[in-house]
Amino acid sequence: MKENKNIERIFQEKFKDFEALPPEDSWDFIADRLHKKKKKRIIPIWFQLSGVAASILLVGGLIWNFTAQNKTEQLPVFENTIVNGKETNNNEINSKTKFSTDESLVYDSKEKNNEINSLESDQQNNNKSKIYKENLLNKQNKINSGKTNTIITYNELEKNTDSNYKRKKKSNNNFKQQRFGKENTETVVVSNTKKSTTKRKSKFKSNKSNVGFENEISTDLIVADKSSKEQQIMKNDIDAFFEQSTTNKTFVTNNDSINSETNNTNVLASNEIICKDSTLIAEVLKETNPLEELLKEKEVGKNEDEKEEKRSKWAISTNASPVYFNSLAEGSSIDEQFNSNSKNYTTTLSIGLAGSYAINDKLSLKTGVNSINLSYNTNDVLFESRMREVDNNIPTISRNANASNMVFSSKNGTVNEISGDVENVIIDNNIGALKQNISYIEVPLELSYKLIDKKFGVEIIGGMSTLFLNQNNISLVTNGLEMEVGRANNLNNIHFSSNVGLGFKYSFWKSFNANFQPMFKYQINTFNQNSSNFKPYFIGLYSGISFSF
Amino acid sequence: MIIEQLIHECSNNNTKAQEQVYRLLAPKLFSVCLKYSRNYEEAQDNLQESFLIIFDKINQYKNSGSFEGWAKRIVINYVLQQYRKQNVFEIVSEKIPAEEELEMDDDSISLEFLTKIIQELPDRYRLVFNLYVLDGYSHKEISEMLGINIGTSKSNLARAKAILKTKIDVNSSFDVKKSK
Repeated sequence: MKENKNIERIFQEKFKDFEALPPEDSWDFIADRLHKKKKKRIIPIWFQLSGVAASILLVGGLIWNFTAQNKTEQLPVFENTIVNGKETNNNEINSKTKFSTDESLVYDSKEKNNEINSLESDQQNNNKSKIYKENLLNKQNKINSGKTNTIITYNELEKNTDSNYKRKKKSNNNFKQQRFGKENTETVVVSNTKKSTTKRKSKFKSNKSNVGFENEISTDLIVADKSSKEQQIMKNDIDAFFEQSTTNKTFVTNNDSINSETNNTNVLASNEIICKDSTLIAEVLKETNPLEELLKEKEVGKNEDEKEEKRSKWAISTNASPVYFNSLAEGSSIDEQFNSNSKNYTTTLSIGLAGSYAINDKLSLKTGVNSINLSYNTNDVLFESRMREVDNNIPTISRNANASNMVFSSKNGTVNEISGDVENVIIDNNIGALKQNISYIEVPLELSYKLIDKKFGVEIIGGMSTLFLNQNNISLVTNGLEMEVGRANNLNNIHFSSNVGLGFKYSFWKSFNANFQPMFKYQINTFNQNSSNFKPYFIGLYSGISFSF
Repeated sequence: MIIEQLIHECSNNNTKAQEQVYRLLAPKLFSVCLKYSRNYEEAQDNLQESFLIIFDKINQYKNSGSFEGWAKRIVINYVLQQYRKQNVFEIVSEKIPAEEELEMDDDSISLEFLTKIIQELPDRYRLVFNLYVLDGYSHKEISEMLGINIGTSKSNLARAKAILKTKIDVNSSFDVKKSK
């Protein structure tokens, strides 16, 4: 049928209820990634802080486990006080025998998982899947099947640990009797209200769906069985729930043999009771979940660490840093006589580029180029300008031509030489500071070891730098005026420093990190002559941005 | 009730609950991915990545508005991020072609064919067409979402529709020939 249509309308109509099933493997992929993510979030901290943390975790886990055990044991005891049943011995015996014979068979086959299909008819399987869908889609059924779901899980738990149950059976006998009593009395009450028998069918279905769910759950349990702790937890659940499963069994057998309406209502009622109870236990189960995950992850943790996606090996970074220059010992690089003079160390700026290569996950090697400028003032220096050229009284300073008539001396030192000269009068005001200005090109070679490597990271850094002398001058500073007087001749053109420091990084966007690295650099072999015990070092607070690729 | 419980369980990283949510939403969201992506494979990738985001942010869902709508917005946002980066070489023609009615046989056009020709559109055209025609966003909203101006959005839509129309025309004339 042809008609004129706006193109928008065509698409709108066609796509109105458009739904498409994604490929089956999509969920597997998502589940995989979700699991990995969880692992990433929880585990690395602990593993990176090594075995100590792991053992704390273990101890913590045990304690947690024990407290969880106590909790679950307390629950049924609490209910014991409410319930007092007497007439249920027969029921109990029946159900017990059924349970331990028939069900153990079923249990075996379930563990193999595939065999269940051969045991169950195809028709049943179909029914199961239908019921499963109904769970999701049909609201009416949701309520019923939702309840049965929980029952089923616990049935399953019990069966899987059949042997556990047997062990504990005796000790729990009394308790079970009481529980049965409770359920029976309640069924009487409900049967009085005479619920409609139309629900009978759905009950039957739910029994079948039990089997369906058992399939799924048993596979989970097989995995979970690996961790012994989880089993312990399950034991508790099983103990607490055993009596429920037995009532389930009783109504099943009753259905088969008698088929009376009252029995059906029994089923209804007991189902409801179980549902109520199961919510309690569901909470307990939830509590155990995080622990269960941790344990699982612990097992696979090491493998997955290796699988973790490859890191980018190379990184380049820029950095800028204030440099705090100082000396470890009192001394002067200019002359001995200034040793005791006070000194002002100027905070300067260092900027640079660096590249690093990650040797492995933890270690990386870093090198680069920094320009660095060191400067300090030696205060309280007497200076004089004479009419004629005078001998250089400070051999480490090579004076400029315009400073060849100047004499420097410490205010603290003796000034005999000068006072003897008639032409020159000492003026108190002639006190200034000698400012030594040195700049280097620094080539660091450092090894860093990562302590924490997440969005926020910490590393320790050690290494050395080669420093090439770049600029070197000494000037006289007085009353705010500065005059260059010469250069120091005792500085090596190349010297070294040994570096230690800490590195902090914060990864703010993809492969971009913000870095902050406080470094201590102790200079070695700075001076080629006696430097009067001057032991320079500097501290840099390098901050910058790095990009890894 | 049930869905809220599921969401709560999901925020506790309960895998079973996550799978149930996935089973519930996947058909709807995959159809969105198919419309917004370049092909089936990319649609699958986008779906998976979107679900990872959904499960990651599920605790931010505040029960206001439908959960499905919330999830769909995440998918659309993710897909937009993927494709709005690619800059279409823009020839912005000032005059927007007039709306044309298309004479067509409703049943002759399959959903697969329509999906295919949407996927074949240039990225930007595809996004604008989907947002405007199929998901009911206004040009103003689209311009904000894609970082373009309203005029560009309108002209992109017109171009997209023109391309689609040509393809449908070609297809149906081909059909006619075949039937003759």
